[in-house]
Amino acid sequence: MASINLQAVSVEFPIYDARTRSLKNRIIGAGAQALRRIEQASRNEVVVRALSDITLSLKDGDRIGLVGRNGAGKTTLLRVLSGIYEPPIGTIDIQGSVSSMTDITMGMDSDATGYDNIVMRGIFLGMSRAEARGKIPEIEEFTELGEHLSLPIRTYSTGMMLRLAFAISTCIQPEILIMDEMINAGDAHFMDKAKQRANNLVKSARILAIASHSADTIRGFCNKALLLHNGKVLNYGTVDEIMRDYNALAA
Amino acid sequence: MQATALTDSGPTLPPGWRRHIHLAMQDVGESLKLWRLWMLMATNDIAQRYRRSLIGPFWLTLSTGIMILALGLVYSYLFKIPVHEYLPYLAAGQVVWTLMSSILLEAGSAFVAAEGYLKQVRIPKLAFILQLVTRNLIILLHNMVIYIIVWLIYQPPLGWQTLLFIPGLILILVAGTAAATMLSVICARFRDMPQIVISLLQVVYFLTPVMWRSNQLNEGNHAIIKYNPFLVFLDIARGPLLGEMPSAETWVIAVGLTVLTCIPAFFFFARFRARITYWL
Repeated sequence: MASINLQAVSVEFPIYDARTRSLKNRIIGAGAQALRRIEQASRNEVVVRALSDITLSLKDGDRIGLVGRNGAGKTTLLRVLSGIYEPPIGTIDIQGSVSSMTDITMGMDSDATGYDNIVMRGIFLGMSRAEARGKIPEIEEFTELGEHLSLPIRTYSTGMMLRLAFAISTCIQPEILIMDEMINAGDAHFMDKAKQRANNLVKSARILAIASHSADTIRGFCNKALLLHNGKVLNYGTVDEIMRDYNALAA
Repeated sequence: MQATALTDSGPTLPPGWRRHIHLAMQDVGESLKLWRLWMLMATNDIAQRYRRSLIGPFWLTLSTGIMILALGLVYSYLFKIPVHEYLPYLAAGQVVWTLMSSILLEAGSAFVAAEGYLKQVRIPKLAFILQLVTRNLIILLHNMVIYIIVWLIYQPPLGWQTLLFIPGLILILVAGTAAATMLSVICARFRDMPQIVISLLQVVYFLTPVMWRSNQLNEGNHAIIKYNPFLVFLDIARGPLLGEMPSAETWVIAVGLTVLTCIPAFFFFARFRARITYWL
């Protein structure tokens, strides 16, 4: 059983300019009027409210598509759902293994070989060294990189690099899958293979949360959708209903 | 289970704190479970630095070695201490000091450097501190080669008490982890802090008997010798390397200082852990 429960979650980002971020300035500034100054400084702290009062409950089988214009808070909400940002206001409870595929090349070392990178990323995903090595044949076959896998990945083309990153990121099946746009990689031939692999991953996840600007992606993978606007939930319901609202908002 | 025990035993704690403490214990537990990851990241840090160089990480050994040799020859002459006495003293002290000071120096960038990970996946935060401490332990092991070479040449009297180096080292690593945790949280929030730490550590280096000996200053009775926490940790690791037995008092103070660092560090970490990602 996987589940995610958000209870009145708000997320604020403090904005520190060079002045408030520096401890030195605080101390020098506080010198004259001691504590009063610091209190004043903290009250004057500028914050950006990225998410506002979000209550959401996801359980097994839920496939939620997040839509909204740029800056609506989609990525921030995905990060909250992944457990990256722990909300300062409200509570969140996440049950189940989470895989967030927002940056599939994360943690790759350009000077290490393809094989080394497979093992490294595998360990990152929580595998033992042996388990990670066990994934090698599958990745070899999927990426079709052949001999290149024994070369440092800085010698790869962008497409080759993406293929490898994609293959590694998709080699374990999470219970909760978080995606910022549908991942795809490579040329036409590879695209089909990648699409199939990604579809399998998405279908086998117990909970999917994906943000996308593409109506096809949302309609293709999701069974419910949420429209965000300025960090607030504008509407939450069926895909058809939300897409209608979203188009109305965009118009 | 431990988490419940602790939170239940503190009914006076406000609910916010219970949650902070519970999540911090969870972070510590998950971090320890990820040992493969931080060990790998630590070895990679060193491998990356010396990739495509002929002698690789032994540049660490060589550059420290050259410095110790140069300082050793000059200062043994200036201080009029025979080289066969001074060089082992300096080698042992410098190697241990490098460990302590780099753990604190590098705490300045621990979370800032991990931004790419911390903002992309959910990952326990203490893992990055453990990575930093492990990296510096590996560097210490490389630097120990210098101590061994110096020992082979001058053969200072060693005995079973030399083995006490290991518990001394463990205390340094534990206290170092706690201090680095606190410092790296502060440094993520206040970006001037790393520069302040650099300057302060430089001063501490000159005030701590690494290059000079305690008895050169007022027969070891000066305040900067009696109340220097760095010297306590230096003594419990350097003493054994020179065949000296650290006094029971030194041990008690070292253990006490370690506990005194760990407790506030834990509460500090518990309080600010969740904010780190927002500060990056």
